[in-house]
Amino acid sequence: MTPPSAATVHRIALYNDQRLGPIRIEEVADYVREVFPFAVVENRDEFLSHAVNAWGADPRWIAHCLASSRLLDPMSCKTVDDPLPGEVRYEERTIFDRSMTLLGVAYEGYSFQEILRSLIPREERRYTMQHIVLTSRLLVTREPEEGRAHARTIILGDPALISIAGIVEAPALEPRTYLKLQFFRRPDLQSLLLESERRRLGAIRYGDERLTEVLKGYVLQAVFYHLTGEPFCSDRLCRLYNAHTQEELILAQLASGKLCKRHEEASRRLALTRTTPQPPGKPS
Amino acid sequence: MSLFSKVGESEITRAIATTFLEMFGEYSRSDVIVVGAGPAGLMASRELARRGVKVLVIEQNNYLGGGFWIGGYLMNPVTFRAPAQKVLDELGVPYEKFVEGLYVAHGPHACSKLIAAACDAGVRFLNLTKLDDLVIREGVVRGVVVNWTPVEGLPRQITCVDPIALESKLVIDASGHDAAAVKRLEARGLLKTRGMGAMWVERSEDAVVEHTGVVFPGLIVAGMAVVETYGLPRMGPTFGAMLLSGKRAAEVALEELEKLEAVT
Repeated sequence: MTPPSAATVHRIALYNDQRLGPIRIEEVADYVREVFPFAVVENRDEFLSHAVNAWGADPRWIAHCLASSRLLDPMSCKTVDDPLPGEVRYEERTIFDRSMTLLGVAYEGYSFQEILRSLIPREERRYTMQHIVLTSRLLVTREPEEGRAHARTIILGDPALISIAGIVEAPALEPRTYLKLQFFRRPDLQSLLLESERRRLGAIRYGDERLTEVLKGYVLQAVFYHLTGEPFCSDRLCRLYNAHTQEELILAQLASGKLCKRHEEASRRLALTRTTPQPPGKPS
Repeated sequence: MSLFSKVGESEITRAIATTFLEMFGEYSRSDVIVVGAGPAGLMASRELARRGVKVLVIEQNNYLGGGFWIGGYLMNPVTFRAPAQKVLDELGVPYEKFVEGLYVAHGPHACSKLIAAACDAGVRFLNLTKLDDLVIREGVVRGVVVNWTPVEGLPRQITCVDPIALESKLVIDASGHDAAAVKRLEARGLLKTRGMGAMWVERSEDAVVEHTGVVFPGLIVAGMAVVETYGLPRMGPTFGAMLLSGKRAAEVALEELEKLEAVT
């Protein structure tokens, strides 16, 4: 990576994924441009199909890597090391077949991130260019200090990964829900209970119209991390708040839906040090 | 005067034996052999047979239908999540909407209709027939080795009943949690199954359908055998994925048969 310099335009490649709900990606991009006027945001197709179609990546090789990063057991975070041909074929289909929901499979988050990173061509691996990937895949990581695995909404870095399945599954519902679940052994009843609890609590669900609004906040977290090293804010009403529950997520991203004063100011300060791109034809 | 026509015992025996042996002889070579007559196997076989494919289903139990008769905890209503109710429409199974996205039907009605649909389509069955092994030629599954289920129950020291082989272009493993055909390959070191994962119904149904497909040359895996093979989240008594996985297995089988035809 080339070191950062003042007066640089920040380029963001934003990769969409519509499998789990309609995402208004242009709206997300506009929001990022509004907060960071110096950012040039380019909307791209799903990351993996972009990698195959635009960068010439080998889908069979990608599929093999993806199959190897699948989790055998989400609790232990142990990955499949020697994938079955059927798993590789499944992963290859996921690259091209947009009707597949990708539900039911979890991936080790950092391995998945490493696979994606390896696909980015050299000319696009620069500090001034950031890749933010929306993905339907459920990503799980195990942090050594926590000693247990967690589904993740966001994995920061380059590329930054924002998991739509993670936004639904990772932030917890209220504790009472899990106590209620103990009463049901039948998984179809558990499923019904979870769905009714999600509705009752107003939690984010698959196919939720509110996903676009929620994603705006997570994309901001990725950009703040890239530019400042600090993705999160301790203010529960700030979009950069690291929500651990659906209630917190709704509060930060929907009820408030804005940055706190400190981070508004931070985004203004960042803008001062950078060049704002001009529309074509307009003298800079 | 008797209500029924006068037929001797030997005629009845001959009718059973002749009819069975004719069918058995004819189906010693099929296009597709389906292992297991549960909902996924029945659905796959029905879909194939109605497209003119010669299909034989082997079932280790006397009865067909597998776990489809009962919904769970000895209660016979069976549940389906949308869009699987469309298959019920297709089969003419009455059902009710329980809540948005969840439908309930009576197990005996749904199961018997599915069995009848498979029979009407021209599927042939060998019940009380257990998979013993697979026929593998040049690294491709090309049939099954079977025996009568009761033989397995007999002590080896007092009986030795050799199995027989049935040939086919493709085999579909729809044997449920047994994953019988896949496990035969595993026993030979040809693949390694993952075993069943944690229960997570919301996510498992999609995964079962999306993973239904060729697991080894000549062998397609469907239904709960998919869960066993790939270590997917296990499901409870909800049957939508079984029906849709069966349909998907039939689609994959048709594609594979087409490829075979193109080669020959």
